[in-house]
Amino acid sequence: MNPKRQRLLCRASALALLMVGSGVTVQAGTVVFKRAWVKKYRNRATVVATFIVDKAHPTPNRPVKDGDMHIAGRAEEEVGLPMVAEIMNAGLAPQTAAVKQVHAREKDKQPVTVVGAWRVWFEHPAHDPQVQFETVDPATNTNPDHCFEIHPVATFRSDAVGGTSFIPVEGYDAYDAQTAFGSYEKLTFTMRIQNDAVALTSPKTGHNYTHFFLSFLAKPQALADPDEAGGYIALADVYQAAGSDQPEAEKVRMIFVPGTKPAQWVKDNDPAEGDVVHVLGIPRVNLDGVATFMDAGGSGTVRRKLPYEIIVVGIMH
Amino acid sequence: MIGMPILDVAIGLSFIYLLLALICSTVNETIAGFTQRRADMLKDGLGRLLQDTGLRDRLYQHPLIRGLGAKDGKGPSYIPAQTFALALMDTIRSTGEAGSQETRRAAADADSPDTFRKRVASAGNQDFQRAFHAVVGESAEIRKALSPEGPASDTAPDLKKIAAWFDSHMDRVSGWYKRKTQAWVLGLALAVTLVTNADTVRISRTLWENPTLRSAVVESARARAQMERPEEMVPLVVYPNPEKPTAGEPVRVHKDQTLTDQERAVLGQLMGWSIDLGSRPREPGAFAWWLLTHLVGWFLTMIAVSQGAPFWFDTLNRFINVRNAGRAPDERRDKTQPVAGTQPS
Repeated sequence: MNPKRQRLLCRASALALLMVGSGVTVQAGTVVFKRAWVKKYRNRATVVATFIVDKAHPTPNRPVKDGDMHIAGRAEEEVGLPMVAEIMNAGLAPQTAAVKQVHAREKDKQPVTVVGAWRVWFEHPAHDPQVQFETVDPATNTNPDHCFEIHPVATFRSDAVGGTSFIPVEGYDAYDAQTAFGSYEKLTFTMRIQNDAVALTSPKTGHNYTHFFLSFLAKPQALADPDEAGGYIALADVYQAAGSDQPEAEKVRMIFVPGTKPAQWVKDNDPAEGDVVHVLGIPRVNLDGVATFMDAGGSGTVRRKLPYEIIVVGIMH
Repeated sequence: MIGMPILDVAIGLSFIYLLLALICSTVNETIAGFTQRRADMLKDGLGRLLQDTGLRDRLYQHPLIRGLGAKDGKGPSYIPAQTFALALMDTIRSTGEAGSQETRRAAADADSPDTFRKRVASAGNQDFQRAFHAVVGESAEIRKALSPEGPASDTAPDLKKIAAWFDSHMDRVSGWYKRKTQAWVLGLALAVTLVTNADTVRISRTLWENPTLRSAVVESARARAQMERPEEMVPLVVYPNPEKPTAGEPVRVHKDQTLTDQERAVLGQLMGWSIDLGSRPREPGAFAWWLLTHLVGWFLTMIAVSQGAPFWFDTLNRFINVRNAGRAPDERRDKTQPVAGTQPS
């Protein structure tokens, strides 16, 4: 064999194999939502759920971990998916009554009304598809496979915690904007659209809490739904640092949950275009994006960038 | 230290693979539009589960199943297990009601084991009956559910047995589908490779030996790298008016991904049959070598193209970043660490 040809063949083969061999397998999850549900919640901040507590952490996570209280349970009527509810800053004194309520309801299994930000995020995906409004088995641990959360909780039974728990988590190192939004901006998902349902499939996601500088693109709008009095929504650019001219993400929907400190901040400060505030946030799937695409006649299977929005859960000091 | 020519060859190859993967993707979507592979696979799987295609077809006419299909009447590509269980029970019940006089006469004793067996028998063939009885036995719950007075409840424990039966079978259907899809993607990649004669070895050699063409390809690759990432990184929706955060506009509801004229010209210079066939050697030994290198080259191209356009778009961008002596997107710093001085207080 001609040595020149041999070298060329080896070089080309090595190059091609090197390039194709770097694929990785990632865990993915699928949730099948009713289209009517997506339409109902697309522009809402919260869900009001009749919740049965299956398993709850005996004590809230330490602040260094995230300070949340994890509560696994079911809300078959309003959500119909394996889910958890999480109270932010649950170790702080104002949340004590709510945490006691959690444990009482864990014992007696009596349904309890929980209000909080709905959150679809593929952080703990299941191996098999989770189909909305199929029977949900009771959770056997505090963190079952789930892609649906009420997180953060604003009210647990009659204990309103939105005003005291939607604040920065003292002692917790949230992700910076470059890391978190760098990740969110690369996420892709597959949407399979059917007549009355839509299946969302996404690789496992992460980067729960992120702090960033939010630059308003216009005055926040009051949430239109009558159940959401006091909530706001705004489009904003996201920056790593104040004064930076390179946004990490642009035109991201920011959700201010009614009855919480961030929503109160919006009400008090009436921010306008160009105003910047340092906030703590958590991402969720932007169901308005999903609904808008379906409304426009989108059909079949579509693979796209994952549409996301941010629940503002704290105003940084 | 990596030399610039070999980096340019890598850029050229990534670029070619990207274009071929885009062609594959377009062909795949066109074919998928006419066929309904997943829905067909599900229907086939259900036929195997029920062992009775007649019963399966009646099941597909049930409103619960029909409602899951597409608007154009195509069957569903996914059926929730409990929906299947409810629809199956209802189909068996309604078949029984429309069935023999004997079954109807037994209505007074609607949930007796005998009537139950008759109802199941009137719904499907013997294979189905054996499978069904093996799953639910002589369940009183199912008997009641099948009687006209006792509609099925999706919380009945024994209905869950049917759902579990469906689920376990669908796991196997998913496995078949995955294997078929992988085979399909490879087959499509092979077809595109052969039709275009996209031989990785030959393309590499051409790029290596022809600096002028190499430069032109790198320039085209740069232009492509600055375009939108193929399909999957396109957003679903944009919000053009900052004052209306709930008035999104859908993006590219109907897909359009075409190659530019320049890219077509590049492909024409690096692959194709006419020149290659004309220059093939006549001497047997040389011809065998020619064929061998082509087989290796086609195989490499097929495997590469089957990785998909987004993969090659990212790879191309990485190589171009390296060539520009800039930082690769993931090389900035350890992003898992928060930036000092910006922690929550």
